[in-house]
Amino acid sequence: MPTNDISGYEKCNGCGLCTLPCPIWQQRHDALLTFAGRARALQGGAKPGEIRDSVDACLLCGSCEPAFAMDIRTVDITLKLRAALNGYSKEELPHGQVNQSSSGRALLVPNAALLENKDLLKHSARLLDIPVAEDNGSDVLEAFETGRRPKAGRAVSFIKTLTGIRKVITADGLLKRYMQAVLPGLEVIGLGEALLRLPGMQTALRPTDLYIIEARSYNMDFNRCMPFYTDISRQTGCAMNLDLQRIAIPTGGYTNTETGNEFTPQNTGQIRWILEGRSFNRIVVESVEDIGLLKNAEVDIPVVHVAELAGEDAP
Amino acid sequence: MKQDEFNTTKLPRGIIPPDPVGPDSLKGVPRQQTNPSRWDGTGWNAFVAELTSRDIMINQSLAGRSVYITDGGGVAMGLPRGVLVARSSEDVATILKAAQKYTVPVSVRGGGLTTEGECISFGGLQLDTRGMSNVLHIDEANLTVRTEAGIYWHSLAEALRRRGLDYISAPLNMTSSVGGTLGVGGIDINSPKFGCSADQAIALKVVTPTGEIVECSERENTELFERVLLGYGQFGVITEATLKIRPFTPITMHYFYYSSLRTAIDDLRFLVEEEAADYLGILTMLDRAINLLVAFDSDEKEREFFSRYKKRISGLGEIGFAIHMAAHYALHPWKAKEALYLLERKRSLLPELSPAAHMHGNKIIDRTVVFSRAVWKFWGDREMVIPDLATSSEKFAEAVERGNEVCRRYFPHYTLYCVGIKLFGSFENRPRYELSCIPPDAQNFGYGCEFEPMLGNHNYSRDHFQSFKNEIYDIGVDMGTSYYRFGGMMKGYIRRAFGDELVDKHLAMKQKADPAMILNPDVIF
Ligand SMILES: Cc1cc2nc3c(=O)[nH]c(=O)nc-3n(C[C@H](O)[C@H](O)[C@H](O)COP(=O)(O)OP(=O)(O)OC[C@H]3O[C@@H](n4cnc5c(N)ncnc54)[C@H](O)[C@@H]3O)c2cc1C
Ligand code: SF4
Repeated sequence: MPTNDISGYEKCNGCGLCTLPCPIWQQRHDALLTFAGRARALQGGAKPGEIRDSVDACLLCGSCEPAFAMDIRTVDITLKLRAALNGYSKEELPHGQVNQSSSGRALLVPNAALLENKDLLKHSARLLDIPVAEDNGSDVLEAFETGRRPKAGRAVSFIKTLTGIRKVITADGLLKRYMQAVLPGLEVIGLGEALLRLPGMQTALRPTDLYIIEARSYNMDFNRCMPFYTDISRQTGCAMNLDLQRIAIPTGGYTNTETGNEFTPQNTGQIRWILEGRSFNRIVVESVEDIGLLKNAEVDIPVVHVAELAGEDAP
Repeated sequence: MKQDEFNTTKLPRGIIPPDPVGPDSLKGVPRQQTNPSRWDGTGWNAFVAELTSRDIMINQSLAGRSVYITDGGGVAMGLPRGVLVARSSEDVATILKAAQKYTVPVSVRGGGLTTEGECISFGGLQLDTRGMSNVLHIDEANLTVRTEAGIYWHSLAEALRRRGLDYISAPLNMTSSVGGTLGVGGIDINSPKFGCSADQAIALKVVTPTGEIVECSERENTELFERVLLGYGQFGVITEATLKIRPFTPITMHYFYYSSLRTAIDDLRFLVEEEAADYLGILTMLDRAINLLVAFDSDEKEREFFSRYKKRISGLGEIGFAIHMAAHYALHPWKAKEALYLLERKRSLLPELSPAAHMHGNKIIDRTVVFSRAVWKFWGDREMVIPDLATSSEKFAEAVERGNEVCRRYFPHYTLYCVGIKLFGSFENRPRYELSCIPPDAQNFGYGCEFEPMLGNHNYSRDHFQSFKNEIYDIGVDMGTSYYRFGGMMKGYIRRAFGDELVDKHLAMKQKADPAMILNPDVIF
């Protein structure tokens, strides 16, 4: 029985810090469409149904979470609101347990865009020396993101495919949050980070590069990722899509437009904001979707995927 | 007359009728003054209908209005009847014209970080300026930026930093807007060197209360320029600003510790007036643990400080102060609880002021991020009361000590934040300083002290807060000081603090500029 628990927003004290990195704020400057706006509206007595546009607009990019001086799990609260609006409850999620004594196998879980780019997928898997998941759970993750109930049995069957797995490399950082909820203990790492940890990858970055981090992976794991990427940026001199708070500015390219947000691949405002005022002569992306976004934005500068930095059999 | 049977001829100009069920309707229940009365809504529907016919859609939903229910202080509460996120000066002009016609109060909000309810709408229209957040032009050669005024200082910094530039001075909170800050002052820890944010403005685009769009500067429409800067939103809505900017520099920070407030203040004044550092401020942890922050934009300035000024101040370094405090608490073991509080404060606060990701060697890269996050983390409660006193150099130490005494009676823990502010003239050649946070008798430098209780998990009543603020503000009346936050809930002090003559002069100017008195009512007038 869904409980429609939407608690958490009451902690918001209205400082507005969460709006600073928010892509919806950056594009619309309408407070109601941000996390702070939703929290204030609910505090003021509005029902979730009255803020549906705002709940739908969120990209679940996670940028607002590290922006808080206090600890507020904004993404979780928005996910709960979506689920409540769709009559689903996070408590209905299946729960598994990672077997800590399992062999420690790792698995690459691609998202739809990476799955489509077969050469890049193969190349990434070869570099990482791990198999590609046969079931990438994209329907389950989509249900999680949109707050809808997945097809009967799918959530459980997806978890089953991870039996014996200790570590997942994901192309979509939202999987980190999903796994925290359903398979605590499973190590989930972003594809970009995993590739950058391979020997020789970081040295391929140049001071004249702009490196575009997959923001969900980074922001939802901020305390671990921030020092890692900050070090790389300092050592290589390459610029990154980090703001002054060291939060990754999302391109919005990977988000699920089913939710009704405006970040379609044709919406290039956010990518333009990332590029604005910076000088660089190559762009390195972690997210395949960003290649398309940059193309749509008619960016006239070479774009490579981080996997291509290795130079081996580059597609 | 029913709420929306509107007839302009029946309404006396300049009177915004209060809702009969207002905060002062509980007869016989004594209360400190808090919220202003809520407007009764006469003419609202006609106002909205006119704007709708001009394609300006007012959001009247509960969700949309609730976003604006309070300000940074979280103590004053008021619900607007409707909200508009303004996208252009033309939007603002259309609204103000209609507001004059229908006598609808319009409260302007940028970051909404006032603490006395100044930006809150009590039943009228809330005009959110943040829809105007574009940086329009950065002139790297002449070091100026033209920006829309709803932008957060932090967002402006994001755009400037990519070009190796920075704004000059802004509040330490990241989410105050350029327009809202120019209207109230804007104090940074580099204000001893650069003055307040309002003094960084070169030119403004302003929509007057009657809806004219006017460009003004020190050369063009000077009177409006001088009225709008530090004008608490009484004389117009700032929609664009040209500001001075500067090359970005990381800063080197040093802390000196004191156990005497008076000595720390004397040293602050000395360093401010000698222009010995680029950044200066006092932050107290306890009455006997006072921190003087001294920072530099350049190594040369830092070297000069250590060779010329360091020996002339009495602050101790961290180790020296630790020994001093250890000796003190060894002799006063019954104060062990205080010692533990201090240790905990030091343990949690100091690392926040030099987080690895924002440091480069011993330099702080993003001072605003570092300080603002610390401010929100350690002082940013759901409710914040920050009464202050703004004084001349001569009166500063006494004012701070008297204010500190009040804090001690009301709260177990509090912080004092003291800064100096460079002035660029007097009331005669800078009329903007008149009826503002700039103290009337200050010369060359003004000083400010904020008294900020640490509320923790205590629940205090609004009356408790108000009594506390009143006692601090009474000191100001007694000593002839000014205040940074004298509007909104503290507006009862305006005549007492500034005198009838000055207030009546400004009231007459306001009535002329804003015949229906609709723009930001109850902030000052
Ligand atoms: C945690 C915290 C820390 C703070 N730190 C500092 C600090 O270090 N230094 C400092 O100086 N202050 C500080 N303040 C006070 C606050 O920053 C100032 O009041 C702030 O600069 C105002 O900017 P705002 O955009 O938030 O203005 P708002 O609160 O939105 O508005 C301020 C006033 O100006 C009016 N107004 C708003 N926008 C406009 C406009 N475009 N044109 C005309 N009138 C307008 C409003 O009606 C209101 O009366 C702090 C406040 C908080 C809560
Ligand atoms: S998750 Fe991203 S889009 Fe959603 S409110 Fe936070 S910052 Fe904005």
